[in-house]
Amino acid sequence: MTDIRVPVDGADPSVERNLVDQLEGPYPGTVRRVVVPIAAAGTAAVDWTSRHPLLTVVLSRDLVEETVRVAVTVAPGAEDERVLPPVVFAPWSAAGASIPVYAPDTADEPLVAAFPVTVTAERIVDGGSATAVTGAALTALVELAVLEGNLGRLLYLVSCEKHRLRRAAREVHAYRTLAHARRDALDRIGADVGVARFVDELVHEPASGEVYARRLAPPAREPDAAYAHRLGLYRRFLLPTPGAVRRLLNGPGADTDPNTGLFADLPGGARFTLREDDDRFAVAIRLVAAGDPQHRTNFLAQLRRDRLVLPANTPANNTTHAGRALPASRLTEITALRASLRQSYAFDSSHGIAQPLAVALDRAGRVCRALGSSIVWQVSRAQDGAGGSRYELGLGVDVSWPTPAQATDLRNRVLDSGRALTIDGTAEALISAARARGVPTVGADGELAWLWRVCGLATTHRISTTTMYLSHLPTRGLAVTAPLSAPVGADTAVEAQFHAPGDPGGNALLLAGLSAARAAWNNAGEPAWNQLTDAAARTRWAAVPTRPAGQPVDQVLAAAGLPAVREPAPVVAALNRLPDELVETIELPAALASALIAGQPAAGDRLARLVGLLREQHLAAALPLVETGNRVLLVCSVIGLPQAGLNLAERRATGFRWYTVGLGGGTAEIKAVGARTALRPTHTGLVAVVALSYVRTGLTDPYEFRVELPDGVALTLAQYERLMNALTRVCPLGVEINTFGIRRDHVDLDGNGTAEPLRPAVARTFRTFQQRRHRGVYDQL
Amino acid sequence: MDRTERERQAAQRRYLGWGLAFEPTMPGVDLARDIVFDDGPNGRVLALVAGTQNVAQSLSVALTTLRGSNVFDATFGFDGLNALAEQIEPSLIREQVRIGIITLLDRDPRVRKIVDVNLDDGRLGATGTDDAAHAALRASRTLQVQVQFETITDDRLSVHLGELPSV
Repeated sequence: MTDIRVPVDGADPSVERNLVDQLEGPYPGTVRRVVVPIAAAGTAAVDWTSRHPLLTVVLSRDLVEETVRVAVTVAPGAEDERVLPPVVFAPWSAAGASIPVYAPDTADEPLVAAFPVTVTAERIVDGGSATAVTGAALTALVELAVLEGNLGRLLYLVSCEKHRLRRAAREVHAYRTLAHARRDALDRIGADVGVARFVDELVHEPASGEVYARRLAPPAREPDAAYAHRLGLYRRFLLPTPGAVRRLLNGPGADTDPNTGLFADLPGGARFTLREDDDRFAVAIRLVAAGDPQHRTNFLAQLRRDRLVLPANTPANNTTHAGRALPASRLTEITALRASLRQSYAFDSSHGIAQPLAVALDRAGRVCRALGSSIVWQVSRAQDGAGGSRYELGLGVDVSWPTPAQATDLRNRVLDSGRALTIDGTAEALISAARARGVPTVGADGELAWLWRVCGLATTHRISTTTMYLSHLPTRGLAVTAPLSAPVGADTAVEAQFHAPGDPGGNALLLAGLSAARAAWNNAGEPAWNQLTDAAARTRWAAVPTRPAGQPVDQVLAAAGLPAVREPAPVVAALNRLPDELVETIELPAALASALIAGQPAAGDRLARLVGLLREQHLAAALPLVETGNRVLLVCSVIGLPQAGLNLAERRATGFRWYTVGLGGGTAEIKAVGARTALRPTHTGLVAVVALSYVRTGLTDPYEFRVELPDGVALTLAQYERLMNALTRVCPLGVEINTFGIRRDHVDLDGNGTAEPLRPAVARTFRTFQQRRHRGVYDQL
Repeated sequence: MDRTERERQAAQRRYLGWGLAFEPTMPGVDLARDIVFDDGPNGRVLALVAGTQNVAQSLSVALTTLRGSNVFDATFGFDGLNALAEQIEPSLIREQVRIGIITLLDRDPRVRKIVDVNLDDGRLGATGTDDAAHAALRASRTLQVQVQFETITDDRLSVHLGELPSV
């Protein structure tokens, strides 16, 4: 409730009490003000002989939009009982306001004997019916006060108008607040913030699927409450921080509390969730000599001589380290690091690794030792000039895969909260961090990614059944393929690929998504599909026949949200231009395919469920191809597909961005996007070709946050409109707010309580609340 | 009433002024004063005082008002009340009360000359005799103040200020 106290005359708003307090000399003794307590039953007694008394009813609390009517009976039940006319406190009366209720005639006799009274009160809210106020509520609402003396009566008379002034001031003040403003006062507030009252309403036309604004029949206009609710967006200081946006949409409280914010009217008090957990970019670097290959050879020799950590304790390695122009303290640190690494890893004498990687590996080794494990990780590959983008700069190592026993032992030791702490504070802190993040089972995480990640090794990528690749850089299996050298002025093909675990393989995201979708599909009792090889898929694509329009299968495909390809030639030609690893083709189960071709609606529903599973696995596109012989292919991809576009997600699931870094005078140009691109060296030297890639796994992109609702919560068109305006208001410069999920699953167009996907053409069909302010705009409202 | 008397009363009203009548509500018990109403031609009206009665009432009100208690006129009132509450010699208190009364009377432009300020607490009667009345006054530890002065209209007034607590 908005605080609408008006500091008109200090903290104590009782006018007559303030007047009495201001008297001095011989006057205070004649103007007595005595509060008469009211019992819960409404009885009270002026139990003394009063002189020229004036009985008043005093309000104990501020009134808002309510009227209070109080009736007083003097000497109830006696012969001289007097039922006095009721007194009425109008809305917005202030606490301390009083109304005279009983002034006995004292012209002849100034003294009045003690008399009892009874009090009854009623509340009337918004012109509704009167509600009796009894018990503690009565004593909290009003009290009685006796003012004695002619002077007291006179002072009361000359000052009682002040109660009305205070009430009017409170009402004016209240009308300046959104919570209480009405009619024209609300329009003026709206003019201040550039938000006009609606004279139309949003309507959905089921036949055409359009949403449009229909003018209300005059004189109907947007109601005050709805208008004030919209104005609330713009009548507050709002810094668009995540916390402020959450509070705006949901109100204060925990995630489990009901929504009390701008969307308190959502079904079940649902709260919005703001997700801002970014997918990390993957990085891969490949050295390419521009012109003379010797540039590359020289660079790698210099790298090994001056930069890499050579853990093995051999004379050659020791001599190399001792010969570096480093302070003695730094050399001591590196010597200690090498010694520590040797305790937990078995390196060959030729192995070298980049220093950040060495530090991260050492952390993991210290954690293992602190846990009391004697495991020694066998390093089978470290810096390797001929090893490709993963190894040539020493940014990754291949390490032996832990045996199940070793993995179980480490997990148990971490989860043992009763273990004795060691003096290695860093290791103990990392163990605590791992425990706090959660330690998965060995079956779910055989590589012990939880251990490596907490120690700073962002990549744990399975290379084979016996080895895994570790790196402090996030690579997610990304590798760049390019020749060791490239001629200046000529295009050289380079390629990036996310390898699935157990390289070489297809795109990691695509294969993992299909695998998970297949498991979910089979778990639902559906027959398995057949996944084609790349070569077999291309052969089958070429055999897809041309189909006439109007076949039943087109309708069920459309019901599942998939396009119908009737002219396959251009589509197949475009498909053939896509990289193999970014496209996978599955052949639907025969029974399902037959039912689809027959146009059975139930088959359409099953296909829709399959499409939903693919979407849940963050695949970006699916394209059906109807073959002869009652067979249906489904081409899946993490990028857009011909004719299908991005029909599963709002954007492609993976992408690549290229750039080069010149070394030793070498420069090169490269096409910035695509899994496959062309490098053109322009000056001799060495060029580092860098591929920066993203994989969308359901998290947000950098500089983006996502707004989500719980499943099953549907927004009305008005709520959707309010949400979009609210998000417009809180959108910081350069930040994208992703509402794809809201638009797809949470907008109820036809008012049946169930959400329908909002077509892109309709998604922006909402009215913008705030308009540019112009001089005189208020006159037009 | 002859013309001279009418002129005298007119002069008193003009120079000594008039005001609302404030009558003691509990004489002898409390200093409190309240307005009173009279019957007028159109109903009840506020009772008024004028002339010497107005001066006497004004001085009575001033002498029973603590100096400084009126926030709109901090110099209004009787400072002797403060003296009564101080821990000093009783004779000095009496002198301070006397000075306070004289200061108060001097402040009123309607007072031309102070004739006498008599403070009686029963210990030193005006007559010099120690009768039963004085013994009772002494026992009650109250101070009776009697002031005689001349107004600018040549009226000699004697104002009995009632009783103040003595020491």
